[in-house]
Parts: sequence; structure tokens; C-alpha cells
Amino acid sequence: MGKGLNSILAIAGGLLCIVITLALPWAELGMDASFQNWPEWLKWLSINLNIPLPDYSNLANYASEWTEHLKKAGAESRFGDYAYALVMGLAMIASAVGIAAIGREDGEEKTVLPVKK
Amino acid sequence: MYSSIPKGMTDLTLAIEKATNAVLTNKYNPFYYHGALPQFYLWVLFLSGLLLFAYYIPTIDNAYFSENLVNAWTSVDYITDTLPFGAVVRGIHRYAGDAMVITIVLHALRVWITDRYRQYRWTQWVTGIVLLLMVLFIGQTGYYLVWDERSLVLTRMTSSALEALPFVGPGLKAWFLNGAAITNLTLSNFLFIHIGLSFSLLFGLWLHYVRMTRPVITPPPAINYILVAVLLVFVFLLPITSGKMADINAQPTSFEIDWFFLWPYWLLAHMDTTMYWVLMIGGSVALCLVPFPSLYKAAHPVEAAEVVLNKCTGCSFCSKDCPYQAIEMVPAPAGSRFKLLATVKAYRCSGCGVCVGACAFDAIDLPNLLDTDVTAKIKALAETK
Repeated sequence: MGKGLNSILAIAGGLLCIVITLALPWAELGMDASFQNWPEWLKWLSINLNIPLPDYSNLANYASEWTEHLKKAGAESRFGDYAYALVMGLAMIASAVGIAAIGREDGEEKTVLPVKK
Repeated sequence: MYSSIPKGMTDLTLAIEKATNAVLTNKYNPFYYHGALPQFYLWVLFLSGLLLFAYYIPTIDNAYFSENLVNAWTSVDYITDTLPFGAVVRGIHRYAGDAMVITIVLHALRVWITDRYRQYRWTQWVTGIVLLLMVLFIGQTGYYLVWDERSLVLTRMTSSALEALPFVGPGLKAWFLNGAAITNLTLSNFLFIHIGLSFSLLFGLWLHYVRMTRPVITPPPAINYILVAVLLVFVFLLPITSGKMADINAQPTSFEIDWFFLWPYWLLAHMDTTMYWVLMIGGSVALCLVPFPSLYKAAHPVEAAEVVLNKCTGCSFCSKDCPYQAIEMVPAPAGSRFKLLATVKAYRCSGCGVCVGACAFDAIDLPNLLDTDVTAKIKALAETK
């Protein structure tokens, strides 16, 4: 592959990592990351030490279709957990593609003629 | 006729493998890890099962009379709807089971298609069939554990089917229900069978591998990632849910069927019980008999490797390299310059020729493919290219 193409793939891979990194906690926090869904210890710190936690509840509408699908499929609650599973699954597929792409060269079969000692 | 079927399919399989190699290289070709895939899912099942076990309560507890319901169904409900990531772990456990059945069947098919199931490999084939049957039964007991309406129907169907067996039927039914009727002890028994039989799979796997020197039991990380990723995606696409809580006083009649594990129940519902057992037991025995000699006698007879006694130095390289433990090092006869001598166990030898390549002293040969002939062929091929 050319150097240019490698750079493009590296940038695309990097962007994918950023998206997945943001999507994982977003999904884990109930797909909106509103204050009430942050972990208890973070909420405690926020309240007692007056550290503001961001409230991304405006992102909830991004998950409306996912939630709808899960409700139709019979899931009753903790929709964020299911979404986390999906994002993690996609992350693992991307990782596998990355690992295979890097390890491809080592995996190429090398023909060695057997020579009797 | 029989031998020609695998031959044509072998060619097709090899063509697909070659195409896969072109894309993924042989390092990441799942065809080369087909035996390791179900084993990987077994570890996933053990781990996810351990997490579920921590919250599972194996009792029916007359729940329909109780105010505060605490029984198998409510514990599964708690795991699914309340416990953080409980639904994901439950989904992983369920889909890993399905995936294990699929990969076992694909593994068996490939082994059969590529003609690697008979002669020296009959042990692996027969133990593999037994392992498949065990996995199917373990999976079915997993469906009983949920204790929804489907569990109740399956339990009743199983106990009726077991009771219909001559001589051993009543005893088997009592063993299955852990008593004369469905009680709290029944669920305890189901959990014991589900977990106990799962661990006994490890013994079955030992038998499955015992004649292989270097079985491939671990796929590379990239394939492992894909195997887990598939489960996670399915957890989102098709969330696992329970039916209504089982009520012993009610008579549920229909349920959703999982075709990977519950197809025997479909058969049971559509045929006479005697016919069902004849089909199930007959089918299992027939599968075990696939490598029986009369079926392949005319196919491709294997000629075992032979040791040239006066050349063998007892170095044991051939014994270490043999993939099937077909070469045993024995004390050399009196008067020999060396301490050991290689001997071939003909019934285990596949005639693969690995030992010929391992020997530095031309002391082992395949009778129908001499070392000198092979070298000549390779040289000719190299010169042509």
C-alpha cells in the first residue's frame, strides 16, 4: 500500500477509536449521559465538592430508534446496557480488522523446500 | 459412491479455504481453527455462567401462592432487568450456547468432508459425537432453569418421554425430577445437571484430544474478538427475554422454539414417543458408527510408516513430531549401539509423512511413498517452476 493510503487508513482508524471511546460511556450511561445516570461516586463528588458534571441529556434523542427496537424485541429496562454491548461488539470487530491488517504480513505463507540432511 | 461424496465436497472446501487465505492469510483463516471455535465458546459459557450462577435461585418456591416472589423465574427476571449488565451476560450465555452448537456441527462437517474422521481418528469422531449430545442436553437443561411456561412444558415433555422408556424409564423420570413430581428439588437437580455435566465436558475433551499431539485449541486473538463481537451484536439485535412464570396448576401448550437446542422437542411433539426414541437413539448410534470400517474399506487405505531398523538411532524426533502419537520409543534390542528404537503403531498412523521429514537418518519411510521418490518429485517441481 502506498504511504498516502496508509495515512488515510490510520486517520480513519484514529477517528473510529474516538467515536467508539465516546459512544461506550454514552451507551453505558443510559444513552443520554444525563446527570442522574452518572455513577454514584461521581455524583457524590459533584454535589459535595461542587464539581460540575456535564449533562448531555440532549443526546437522548439519538438513541430513540435503538430504544424503540429494544422495546419491540421484548427488553424491559437497562437499554443502555444493550447499547453498550452493541458498541463494544462493533469496537471488537474494528479491533479484529486492525489486528488482522497489521498481522497479515506475518501470516503470509512462506514456501520452504524441504532438504534432506 | 459413499467415498465420492466427501471427495467432491473436499475439493469445494479446499477452494473456499484458498479463497479465504487470499483475503485473510492462513494465520486468520477460521477454517484452520474449526475445532478451537467451539472450545472458545465453552470458556465464554463457563465465565458467563459463573456470573449468572451468583444470582440464580434454583427453586420454584410455590411462587404463585407467595406475596414476595423469590424463585428461579424472579431471579432470572432480576438478572435481566435490574442487575447492571445482567441482560448482556444472560444474552452472551445464551448465544454462546447457540454458537457452540453451530461451530460443533460445522467442525464435524468439515472433518467428515475432508475425510479426517476414520481409522486412526475414530476416537476423536466418537468422542466428538458424545460431546455434541452432551452439549445439546446441557443446553436444554439451561432452558428448564429459566422456569417460565416453556420450561414447564419442556420438563413435562421430558419426564413423559423418559417414563416411556422400557425398564429404565420410571427410574430415569425419578432421577430427572429428583422425586416423583416437580418440586423445589427438581430445579436443584436441573442446576446440578447443567453445571455438573458442563464440567464433565472437560473430561470428554481430554478423550477427544488424547490421541493428538498438538491439537489446535486456541484461535488467534483477532478471531476471538470476532467470536465475542458476534455475541454482543446479537445481544442487542435479539435481546433474551423470559416467558410468563411457570404455574404448575396451569397447562401451557405452546412456546417459542430455539432450533439449535430444542428441535428434539419439536420431533417429540410431532411423533409417537416410541418412534422418537428409536429415531434419537438410532440416530446417535448411527453417527457414532460413521467411521466403522465397512463404510470406508474401499476408500483410501492408509499404509502405515515403517522404521528401517538398522538406520534408527533412537533420537525420538519422529515420535515428538508425530501428530497422532503413533510412534513409540521402545528399548533397543540387545547389541544395538543405541538405547531406543522407534516403533510405529499402525492403527494410529495416518501415513501423513511428518515422521519421514523429521528423521535425519532416512530411518523411516512410507511404503507407498519412499523418501527418495518425494525428494525427486519436489526437485522436478522446483525445476519446472
